[in-house]
Amino acid sequence: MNEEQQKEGLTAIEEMIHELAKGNFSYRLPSTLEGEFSELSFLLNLLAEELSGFFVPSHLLDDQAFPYSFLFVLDTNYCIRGVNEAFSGLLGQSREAIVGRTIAEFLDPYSFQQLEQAFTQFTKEEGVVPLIRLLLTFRTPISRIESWGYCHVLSGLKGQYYFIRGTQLFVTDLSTEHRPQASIPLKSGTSVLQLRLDIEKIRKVYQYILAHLHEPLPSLSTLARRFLVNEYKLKKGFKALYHTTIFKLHLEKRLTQALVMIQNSPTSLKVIAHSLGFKSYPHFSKVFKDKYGHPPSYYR
Amino acid sequence: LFKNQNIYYLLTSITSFMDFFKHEYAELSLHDGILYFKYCSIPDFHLGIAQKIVADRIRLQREQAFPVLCDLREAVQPSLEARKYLAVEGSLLTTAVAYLVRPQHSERLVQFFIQVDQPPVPSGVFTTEAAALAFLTPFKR
Repeated sequence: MNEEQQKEGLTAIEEMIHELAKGNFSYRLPSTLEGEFSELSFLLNLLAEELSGFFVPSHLLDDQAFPYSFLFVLDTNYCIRGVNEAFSGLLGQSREAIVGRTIAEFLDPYSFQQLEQAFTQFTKEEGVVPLIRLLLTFRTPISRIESWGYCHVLSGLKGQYYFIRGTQLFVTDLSTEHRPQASIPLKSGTSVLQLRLDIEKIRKVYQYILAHLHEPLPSLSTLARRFLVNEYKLKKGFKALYHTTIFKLHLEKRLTQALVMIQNSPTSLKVIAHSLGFKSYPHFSKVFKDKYGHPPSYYR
Repeated sequence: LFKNQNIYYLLTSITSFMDFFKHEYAELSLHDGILYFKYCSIPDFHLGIAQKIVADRIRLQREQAFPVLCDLREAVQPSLEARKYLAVEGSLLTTAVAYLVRPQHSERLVQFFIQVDQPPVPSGVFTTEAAALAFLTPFKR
C-alpha cells in the first residue's frame, strides 16, 4: 500500500468515526479502501449497522411511541407520491414542492443507499414481507435531520409502493454546526444512565431467549428478577425494542427452527416438537398452523 | 423453471444419501464425526442465501448434531439479517463451531460475529486446521 492510499484510508476512517460520534449511524465507508483498511472499514460498517439497531430514542419506553411521526410514500423509482404535514414541515417545504421529486434529493447519499438496500430486500423476500427499520438522514439547505422509522411495502393493481413512517431524532443546524440537540426531551425524572442500563438488561433477556429456545421460558417475574429489572419495564421495554413480546419471540423463533427442521431433516414431527420445548404435539401443531397456515405435516 | 426444479429435487435427494454436498455457496462434507463446511466467495450474502445454506447443511446431517469446522479462508461478508439468521438458526444441529480463517484475514470479522451475534454453541477462531480440530474433538459423539 502506498503512502497516498494509507492517507486516504485514514481520512475515510476518521470521517466515519466523526459521523458515528455525531449519531449518524446510516453513514457507511466505501468498499474501495485498500489493504488493511478494507477489513477495518467493513468492521466499522458492521458497527454502524449494529448501533443503528441499538439506538432507541428515550421516549420509546414511555407511552407515546412516535409522537410526531412523519409519513411519506415512494414508488419503485424512489419518486415521492405522498407526504403528510409532519414530513413537509420536517423538510421546511410545501407538500406541492416535495411530491413528484425523488427522495434522493432530500437524503444523505449513505441513507439513500440504505433505502435502496432495504427495497432490494423486499423484492428478495418471499412470503411474509418483513418490516424494515430504517435510520435516515435528511438534508435541507440549512439543516441535517437524523430520523428513524419503519418501511412497509404496499402492493396493488397499479404497482408497488413503499410507505415510510418515522420520527426525527436530532436536528443539526448546518449554518453553525454545533452539537446535535435531542429533538424530543427526556421525560422529567428519567435518567439517561438508568435508561441505558434498562436497555442493556432487556438486550440480555433477548440473548437469553435465543440461547434457550429448546426449553420453556420462566415466567416474566422470574426473568425480571434474574436480570434485575422492573417487571413492567421489562415487558414494556421489550415490546418497544423488539416490537414483540418476550413469549411471542420465544414461540416465533422456535416455530422458525421447527420449519427448518421439518423441511430438511427426517426427524419425526413429534421429536421436533419435543426438542423445541413444546409440551405436547397437538399444541405445537396448533401454533404452527396459526403461524404458517398449514399443519406441520404439510411441509414434509 | 419446472425442469430445473425437478433436477434440483433429484440432486438433493441423491445427495441426501451421501456425506458430501457442494453448491455455489459452500462445500459440505462429513468425515470422522465432524462436519466440514467450506464457504465459497459470496458477493451478495443476503438472508435468502443464509437460509439455503442452513437448509442444505441440515439435510446433509440427517438429524444428527455434529461439531462443525467452518472454513472461512475465502472471505464472506453476510448482511446483518444473514448474520442474525446464521447465529440462531445456523446453530441448529451443531454442538460446537470452529472458524478457520487465514492469519490477519477475516479474524476480526469472525470475532465480531461471535461477540456481537453470540451464537449459542461453543465457538472459536483458529488459523490452523489442527488447532480447529483439537477444539472440536471433545464435542464429537
